[in-house]
Amino acid sequence: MKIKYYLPLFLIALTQCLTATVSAQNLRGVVEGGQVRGMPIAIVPFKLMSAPSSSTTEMPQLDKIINRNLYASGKFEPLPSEKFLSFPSRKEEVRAKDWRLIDADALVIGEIWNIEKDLYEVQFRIFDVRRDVEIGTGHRIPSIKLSNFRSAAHIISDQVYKSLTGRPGAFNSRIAYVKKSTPEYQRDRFQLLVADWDGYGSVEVYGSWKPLLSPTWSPDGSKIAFVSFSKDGAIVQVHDLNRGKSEVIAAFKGVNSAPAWSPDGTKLAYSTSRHGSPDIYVYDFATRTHQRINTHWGIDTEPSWTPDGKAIMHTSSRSGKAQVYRYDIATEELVRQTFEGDQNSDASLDFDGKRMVMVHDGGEIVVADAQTGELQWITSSKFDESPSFSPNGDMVLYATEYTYQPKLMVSSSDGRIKTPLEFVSGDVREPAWSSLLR
Amino acid sequence: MNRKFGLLITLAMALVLSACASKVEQVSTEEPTVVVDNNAFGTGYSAADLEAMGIMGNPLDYKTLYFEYDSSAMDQKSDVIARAHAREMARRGGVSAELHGHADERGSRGYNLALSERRGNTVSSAMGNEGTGGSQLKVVAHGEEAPADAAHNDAAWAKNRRVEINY
Repeated sequence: MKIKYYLPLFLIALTQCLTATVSAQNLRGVVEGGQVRGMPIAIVPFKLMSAPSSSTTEMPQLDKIINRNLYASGKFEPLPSEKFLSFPSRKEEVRAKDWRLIDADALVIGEIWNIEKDLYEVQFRIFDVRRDVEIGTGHRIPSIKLSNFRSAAHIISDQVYKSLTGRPGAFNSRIAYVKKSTPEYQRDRFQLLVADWDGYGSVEVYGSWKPLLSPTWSPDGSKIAFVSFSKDGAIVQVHDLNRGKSEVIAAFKGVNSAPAWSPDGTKLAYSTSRHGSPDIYVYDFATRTHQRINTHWGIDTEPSWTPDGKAIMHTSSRSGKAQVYRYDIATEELVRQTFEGDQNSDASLDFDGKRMVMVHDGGEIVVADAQTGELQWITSSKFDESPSFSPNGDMVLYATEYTYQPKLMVSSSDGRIKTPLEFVSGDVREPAWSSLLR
Repeated sequence: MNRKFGLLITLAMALVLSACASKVEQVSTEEPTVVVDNNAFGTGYSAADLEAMGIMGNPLDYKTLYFEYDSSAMDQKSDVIARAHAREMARRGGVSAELHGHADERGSRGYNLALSERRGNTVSSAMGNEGTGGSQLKVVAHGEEAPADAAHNDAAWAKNRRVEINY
C-alpha cells in the first residue's frame, strides 16, 4: 500500500526534476537579440504502422494539430517538416545530430497502430535533442477512435507541454461562447455554444431569441452560468451540461448579471440592481439563499473570485469611472486594484491568482501583475472584450472585431503570439475558457 | 376678363402696401412690448433658449436622450425633454412608459448592461421628480446589445449611448 503510494510520487518528483533542468537549459536559447522566441521543436509526422483494410474517413494529421497547439501557447516554435533531415518513428532511429543541424531543441516522434476496425493506439516519445536524452519514457493513448483523433492530438500536446515547460497544458480544455445569427424573419437568434479550446466541434447547449451574455464555467466543467433576457430584463441562469437543463438563479426586479462561480463550486457571485443600484450578491446553491455583499450607489458588477475563495474582484464605478476592486469577504475590506487608464473592467485572475486579465480603456485586453499592478498589453484595439485565462494561465481567450469581423482570439499571455479560432465563424462574442484541466 | 385682372392687381398692390405700412409702423415704435414667451411649451425656457440647447420646437418631439461615454449624467437638453414628457404623461393621466437604456460597445458587456440601466434610472428619477401624475415608469436595460447604429466609430457610439422614452 505504502510502496504503491510512494512510487508514483517518486516518479513525479524525478520527472519534475528532469523537466526543470530541461526547460532552464532551453530558456537560454529562446532570447535572441532581445527577441523572445519559443523553444524550437520538431514534431515528426506520426507513422501509420498498420492501416485498416478499408479506411474511408481521412485521418487527422496529429503533427499539424500539435504544432498549432504548441505555437499558440507562445512557448514553442514548431519547425516545418520540410526542414527535417530524417523522419524517425522509434527511439533507435533518432539521431540527435539531424536535429541539432536544424536548430531544434526538442523532438516528438510517434506511431499509430490500428488495433481493430475503428480502434487505434497512438504511441509517442519526447526528446531533448540538444542533450540527446529522452524525457521520461514512451507514452501511449490506447484504444482511440478516428473521430477522437483531435482529442488525442490535444492529449499529446499537453504531455509535450508538461514535459518541456514543467507546466500543465491547456489543449484538452473547453471553451464556451455566444453566437448571434439571423436565420429567419429577420429575428435574431442567440446560441450558447461549447467547443474544444481551438473552437473545433461547436455544440449548442442553449438557445434564445434574446441576447445571451457572460457565460462562465463551473469549476468542475459540468455547468455554465450565463445571462439571458426575460421580458422584464436580464436574469442569471445556470445550465447543466450533463442533464441539458437550465435553472433560473436570479430574476429580481432590475438587472441581474455577470455570474461567477466560487472556486469550490458551491456559490455563485453575481450583480443585481434589485435594491436600486447594482451590487454584488452571492448565491449559495446548498441553502438557496442570496446574500448581499456590498452596497454602494455606484455600479458594482462583474465579480470574480480569487483562487482561495476568500476575496471577490469586481468592477465598480464608485470612483466615477469603472475600475477594478478587491473585496475581502472576511474583513469586508475593499481595495482598489487598478489606477492606470480611464476604465478597467471585467477582471479575472489566473489559477494561482498572480495575474489578472481585464478590459482596459474601453476595449484593450491587458494582463496586470496582481502584486505590482504593472500592465502588459495583449491588444491595443478599441473593440476587444470578454478576456479569460486558459486553465494553466499561459493563454488568454478574448473577443475582437478585427476589421469589423467579429472573431474569437487566443493570445499567449505575454501578448506575443495570437491565434484566431478558425473553426469559429459568424457574429461571435462572449468567449469563456473552462477552468477545468482534463 | 381685363377688369377682373385689374381688380386683382389692385388688391395685390393694396396688400403689399399694407404689409409695408405695418412694417414701417413696427420699426417706428421704439422698444415695443415684444412678448417673449419665457415658458415655451411649458418648459420654463424661451424658444430661443431651447434652441440654444438644441431643442428645435416642441421638446415632446424628442424621444431619445443621449449620454457621454461611461456616464449616466443628463445634460440640460435631456433634462428639459425628460421633464416635458413627464408633464405630458401627467396631463394624459395614468399612462405607463418604458425607458429603454442603451450603451455603446466600448467596455465590457456586463458593465454596459449596468450602465444602460443606470441611464434609464437617471431619466426615470428626473421624470419622477417632475411628477408623472401617477404614471408608471419602467426601466429596461439593454446594455450594448441593441445599437441604434452598428458602425464602430465615435459618431455611431454617440448615437448608441441613449435612453429611449416610450409611451
